[in-house]
Amino acid sequence: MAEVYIAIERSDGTVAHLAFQTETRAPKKPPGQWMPAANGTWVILPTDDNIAFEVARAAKMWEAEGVSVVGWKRLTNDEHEIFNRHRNHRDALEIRGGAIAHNMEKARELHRHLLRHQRAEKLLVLDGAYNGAVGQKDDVKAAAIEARRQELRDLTDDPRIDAATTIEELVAVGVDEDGEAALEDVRAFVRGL
Amino acid sequence: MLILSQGAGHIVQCVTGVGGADLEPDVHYVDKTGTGPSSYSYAGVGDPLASITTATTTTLVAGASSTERAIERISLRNNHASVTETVVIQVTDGTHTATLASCSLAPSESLVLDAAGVWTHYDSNMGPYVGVGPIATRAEMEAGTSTTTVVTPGRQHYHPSACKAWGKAVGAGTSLTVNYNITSITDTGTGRLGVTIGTDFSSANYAIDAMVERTVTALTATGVEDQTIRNSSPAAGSFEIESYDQTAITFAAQDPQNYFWACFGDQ
Repeated sequence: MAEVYIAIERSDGTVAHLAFQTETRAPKKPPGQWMPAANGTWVILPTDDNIAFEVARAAKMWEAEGVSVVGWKRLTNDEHEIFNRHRNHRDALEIRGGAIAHNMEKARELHRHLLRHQRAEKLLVLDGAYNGAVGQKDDVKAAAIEARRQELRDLTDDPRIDAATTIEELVAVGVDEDGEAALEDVRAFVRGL
Repeated sequence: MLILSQGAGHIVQCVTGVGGADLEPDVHYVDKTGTGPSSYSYAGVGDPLASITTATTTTLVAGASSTERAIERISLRNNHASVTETVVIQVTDGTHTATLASCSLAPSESLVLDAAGVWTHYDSNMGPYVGVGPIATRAEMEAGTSTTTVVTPGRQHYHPSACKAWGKAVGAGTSLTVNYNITSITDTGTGRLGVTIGTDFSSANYAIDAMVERTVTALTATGVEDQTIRNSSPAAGSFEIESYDQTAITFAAQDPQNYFWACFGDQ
């Protein structure tokens, strides 16, 4: 199955990645300039007109949100791979000067959102442990737990986030590669108090 | 058994329409001569005939004067490796012609008249082609109520129970792995996959069955992805699947390992 990759610039400032199929199997000719091939399949040439037609068909699913297509461009293989990397920051991608690039302002906010998301479960564990320590009037334990909670709260204020000028610099700040292991770390910390 | 009346003008013929094949004819018959019961004599004749390799009309059995010819077997086998030949078996008296049987003989297929007078078309493994009832039309398939018409591969798609579109895409939504009736997919964002259908449904009212493959096996909140159809996204030819994790208090959009979908409805 052959694909041609397209970037669609949307009216909300985001960019969508469309995988245009040049071959499909269908009960009859699909809409557009499809041609019959062997074994019940259909083929289509990835011309500008054919791609524009498919982009318009795909855009119908965004109509209810009020989002429309501003333009589109063909992606090189390298540009296609940009969409496959750093998926947690994918929504910061945009078309800038004809190239696919991360909007670093958006990327930083996505990064902070990711850090808040990852710490949410850890804070739940620590919150429960803190309540237990307070209930047992164990001030030492409570203070240690509070210090750990503050570390987590401070993650989103890490100066390296604002200082990052590339997506690679950004993803190096505070992200858990293994969420379950990071959560187990917190549980082990509580058990060790 | 096929009876050929007395007279040299009565002929059983084979008409080939394509040429280039290699039909091997073989005929067996019994001649009855004489003018009354006490004078009847019978003689059996069985002969393979010369191969038929062109588009022509070939005499398989010719009648004879004062002879009643009872044909008990006619066999035609296409011995060619690749050419399919069209065959028409007809009987003529020189004035009128009647077709007895016709078919296309693919390589290694046979057309046989047996002693009971039955014509059978055999496939390359000597399996008989069995006659079936009328082929169901698209409307009959969509109605799904007939119990007397036959479903063919090209029309089974139209039955209400048939899946009209399906697919699997990678978790990033940037490549379609396998599909039926899909012309494109769209990565709209993290945890969002748009699907554009080839032959559209007749309206936005169809059923979408979507599922995701998780990225990990651990049953943590961030490791358990769930999926939904994005609100108001379904159109006659497209829809969007969302994937997200289960982190309290607000779920986060998250790519799965793979997306899967199957769609049912009227086209």
